[in-house]
Amino acid sequence: MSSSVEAITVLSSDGDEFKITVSAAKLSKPLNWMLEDVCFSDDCDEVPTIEVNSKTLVKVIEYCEKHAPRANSGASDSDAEELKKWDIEFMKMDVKDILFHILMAANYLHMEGLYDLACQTAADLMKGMTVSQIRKIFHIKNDFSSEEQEQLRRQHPGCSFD
Amino acid sequence: MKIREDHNIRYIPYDILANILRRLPVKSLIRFQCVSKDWENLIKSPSFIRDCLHHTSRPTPLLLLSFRALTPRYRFQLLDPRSKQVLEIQNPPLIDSCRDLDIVGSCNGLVCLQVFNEKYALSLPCSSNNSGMSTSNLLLWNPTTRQFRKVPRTMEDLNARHRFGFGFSPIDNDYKIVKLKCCFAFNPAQVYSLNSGSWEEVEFENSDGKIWISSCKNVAVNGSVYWLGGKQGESDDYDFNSLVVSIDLTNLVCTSIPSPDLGSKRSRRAEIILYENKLAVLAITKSRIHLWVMEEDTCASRGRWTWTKKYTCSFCSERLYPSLLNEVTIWKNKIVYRPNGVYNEDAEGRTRFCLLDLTTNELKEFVIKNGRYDASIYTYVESHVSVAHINHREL
Repeated sequence: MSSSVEAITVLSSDGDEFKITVSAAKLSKPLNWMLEDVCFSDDCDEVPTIEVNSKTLVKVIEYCEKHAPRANSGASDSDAEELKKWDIEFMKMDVKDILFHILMAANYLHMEGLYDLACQTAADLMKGMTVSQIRKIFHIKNDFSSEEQEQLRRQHPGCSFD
Repeated sequence: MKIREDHNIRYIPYDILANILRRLPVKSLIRFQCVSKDWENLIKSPSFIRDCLHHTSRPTPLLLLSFRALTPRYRFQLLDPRSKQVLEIQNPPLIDSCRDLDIVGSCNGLVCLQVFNEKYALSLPCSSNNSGMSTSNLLLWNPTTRQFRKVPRTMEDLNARHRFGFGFSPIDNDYKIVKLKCCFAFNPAQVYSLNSGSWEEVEFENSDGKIWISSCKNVAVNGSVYWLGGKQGESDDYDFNSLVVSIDLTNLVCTSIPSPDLGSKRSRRAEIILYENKLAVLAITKSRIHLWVMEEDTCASRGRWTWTKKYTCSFCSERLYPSLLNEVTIWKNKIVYRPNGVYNEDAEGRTRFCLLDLTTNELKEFVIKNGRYDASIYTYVESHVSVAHINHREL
């Protein structure tokens, strides 16, 4: 970490300023490109905006700062184990926050690790849900007629649909 | 760095949704088809099904066990060898009343069954007169989604003994059943395509008129189906396993390649098998078991077949020798089989299985309650691959 104490400032979509260390910012491809861009030279005052709301950006930066040392230098097995536990704690949030904020931000910032973690966590949370719970989360209207629904059930005799 | 302004709308791009859904267990996917028509279309799309099968977090394979029982005559169970959890599967139709049953193959979650309806004579490789033979039906079945499809019969079901093979052609994105005469002249043969829902008569290229297929057991990998076979006219009359016969499911080319060294002819016993998604042969001698693997690159370039002996294990005791009648499969790094003769049941009549670890030679046993004699074992991966024809998916 000693060589990467340098930090940059970014704006959230809500207009709040956040600091992120250079090594952590490298976890995101677009941020990494920005680092190499001219506007980050010393005589440039422009603060780049990241189209992620403040609440989500805090989480994303927290993830980056935690994962940056390992991403940059590699880590031992015990570190990896520790990081896995940290990830589980980190993802303890509402499924809607994961789906509509973390996942969208990870996708937008091209953060493979966070994207994969968020997809897996969302899947784990969704797998036991009922159809109506899913519709509620995603704001989906049931567009099947009762005959169509019956037909779907008939295709899988004995499978549970509730 | 401008993207969608409003992050509060409940909208998730298709590829993100697909990435989440493909991590779900098949049971959840079947349920979530009911969410909306968009979700149904996504879940049923061939590309999504393909992603599910190749995703890194796909579930570990299970073992599909079929048991002969009293009522119904056959029962199926799925076994997870790690947890020893057994799941009873609901039989597809036709099974309850059948006389006999063979599993033709298990591929990407689809199981192909041959169901014999009436009296059925023992299958000998070269018996030609089968006038009293009964009829059989082929069934394609997805035990997880419980979908099934009765495969239509072909014209000459009553005339000759056949061998079947079942596999997937990645190039055609189609599941196919190959039906050929087991002896000497494979042509004309029939190929059933799940996409078209019909049989087609084909002439295999390079089909050698002297080759025969010695065992029903077939494995399908990388778009080809393989059997053990032999060649007429060679010095050994009982030349059962000197060749591996393959049919390319896409180009319908027949190839035969020499088997690996199976040891002395008298003790020669072999099983064709899948190991880490590669073609492999288990050579079983009195005290040892050898695993020969066909490496992928040599398999692809026809004519340059090289077998590599990957493992050799020994049996510490005669009682743990694999039974001759029952099938053998490989689950992860372990050979799964039923032990010989009286040892295949425990004192309480439960069916005994052995798991022989190829890397450590460690042998573990487990028993299954309510099992009966004659259990066959296949590896099985849960999937929601449909048994409906691609042209009319309504089933």
